[in-house]
Amino acid sequence: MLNYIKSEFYRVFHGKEVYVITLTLSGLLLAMNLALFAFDRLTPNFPYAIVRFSMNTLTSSMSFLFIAALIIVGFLFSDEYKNGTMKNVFAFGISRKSFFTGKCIVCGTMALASMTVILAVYVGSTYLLLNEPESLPLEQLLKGIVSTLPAAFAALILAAALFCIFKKEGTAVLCWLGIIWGIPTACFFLGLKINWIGKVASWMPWNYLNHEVQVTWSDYQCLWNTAEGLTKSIIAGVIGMIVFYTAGVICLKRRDIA
Amino acid sequence: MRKYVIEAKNITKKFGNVTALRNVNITVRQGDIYGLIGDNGAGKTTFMKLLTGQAYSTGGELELFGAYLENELEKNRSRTGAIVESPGFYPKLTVEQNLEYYRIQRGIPGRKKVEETLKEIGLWEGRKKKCNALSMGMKQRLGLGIALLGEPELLILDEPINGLDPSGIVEIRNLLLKLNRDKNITIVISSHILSELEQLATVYGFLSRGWLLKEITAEKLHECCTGYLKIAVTEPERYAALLEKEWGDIHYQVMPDNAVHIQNPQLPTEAYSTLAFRNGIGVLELEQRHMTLEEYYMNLKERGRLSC
Repeated sequence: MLNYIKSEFYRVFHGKEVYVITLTLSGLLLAMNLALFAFDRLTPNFPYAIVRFSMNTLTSSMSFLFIAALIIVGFLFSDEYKNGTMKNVFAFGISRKSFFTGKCIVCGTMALASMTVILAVYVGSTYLLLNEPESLPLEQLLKGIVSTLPAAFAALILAAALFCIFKKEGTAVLCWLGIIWGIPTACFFLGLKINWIGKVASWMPWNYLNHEVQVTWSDYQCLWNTAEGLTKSIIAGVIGMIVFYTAGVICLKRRDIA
Repeated sequence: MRKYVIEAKNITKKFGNVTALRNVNITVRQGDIYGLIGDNGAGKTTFMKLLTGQAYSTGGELELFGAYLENELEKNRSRTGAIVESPGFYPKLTVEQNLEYYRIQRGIPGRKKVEETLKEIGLWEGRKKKCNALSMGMKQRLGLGIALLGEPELLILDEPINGLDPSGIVEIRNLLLKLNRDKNITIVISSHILSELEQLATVYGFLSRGWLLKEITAEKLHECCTGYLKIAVTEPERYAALLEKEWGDIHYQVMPDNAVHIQNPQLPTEAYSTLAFRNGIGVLELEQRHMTLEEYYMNLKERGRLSC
């Protein structure tokens, strides 16, 4: 498996995909800060060109990490079925489990590396370009990212499993959306009527990130600010990682790649 | 006695309601070049997919280098190289990068191996080309290069000469023969170009609709094909009975066009025509012929089996 991981890193570093994603996402966030900066210069008393506003935008929508995980897996998976490269892996004696584990490790590592660069560009540009540089918004953003990271890895593992299982990438993406967004949303509404479903729904990342994170101009009511909330966020993420990894291994076992 | 590299025992493979392979028994010995022959849908590619671990059999047992347990099969697949259906590579990487990727993946030490392989498959000049810009023939060469990287003991090649130009076909044929002769690499190969297979294979397996119709060595096939007497008569069934009565263990086939093919005739041609005349059977045509692999296959397919 180690050789497989090494070869995947070789491929990723010699391809353009990871650089394109990192540059695009960094560029988008930089563009947001530049736009705020420009409005500040052009509009008198423009209230939004401050560090708190920019960072709170991200802090209040932490589920963007899930989407980023899906995007990075989609790019790095590189049409394994279409290119016939997946069959080569098995033909050369690498097990399906090693293949899947390797993919998860490589995608996870690259996602983390890419996120670090994007964050550095974003935080740097925020403090350079915007007014009222204070540390609390950054602290909240970083806390949010750390507590959401296990769930984001779970979303990444799920995406890798689905890209391994389904030949068509569109099917994998739809299935991923169903599991990450569809089921939690359905459970949330059912939970309003049925108590036990409501309890299960509250442990689903999409739900707690949308209902237990309240960010305003003056206040942060986020689950990661309490020990209970932080524990819940990390446990839910770790459970997700275990469940999706196990499901991926089971689904790929003895599966025909035809 | 040469060792078995592949032993397929009663292999069956179903895809839903479709049975792609039915109780197939195939044995490939070390050093063989095993030619798999069959129409589209005969089961050649399915059999190769089972060998390469892309698919799993529904029934039966598959042994690779003597191992049949799943984890041992996986381990032994590292001793093989394969192209099944189409060569697999990353189109956005260059030829050299693709080979380097697989070199790392297979744990082959030293970058020199990539250079050697590029030269061996005739892609040294085009090593910096992106793979999405390669011609079909170059893609086939790259696929072969990837298969050859780990110095495999067994090569599994599904239509490896597809898309190659005539000189490319000769080069690849010579390369495969050289690998088989010098390194004793066992090869399982399929192709629709039977004349090409005829120049390579030492053993043939004929598949049709999932059944293995016949497994025959090139020597035996040569014997069967070298010389047969075609005698078209007015009453082929009666003439066949006379042949058996007169010469006992004679090998013959009654063909649909009133012809009787007598394999390896031991007597002068006149002896066979005289037998017909003597018994009031009219002789319509008399011809000494050699059967090509193509004809052999067509006969086999039409009749299900041949006496030879």
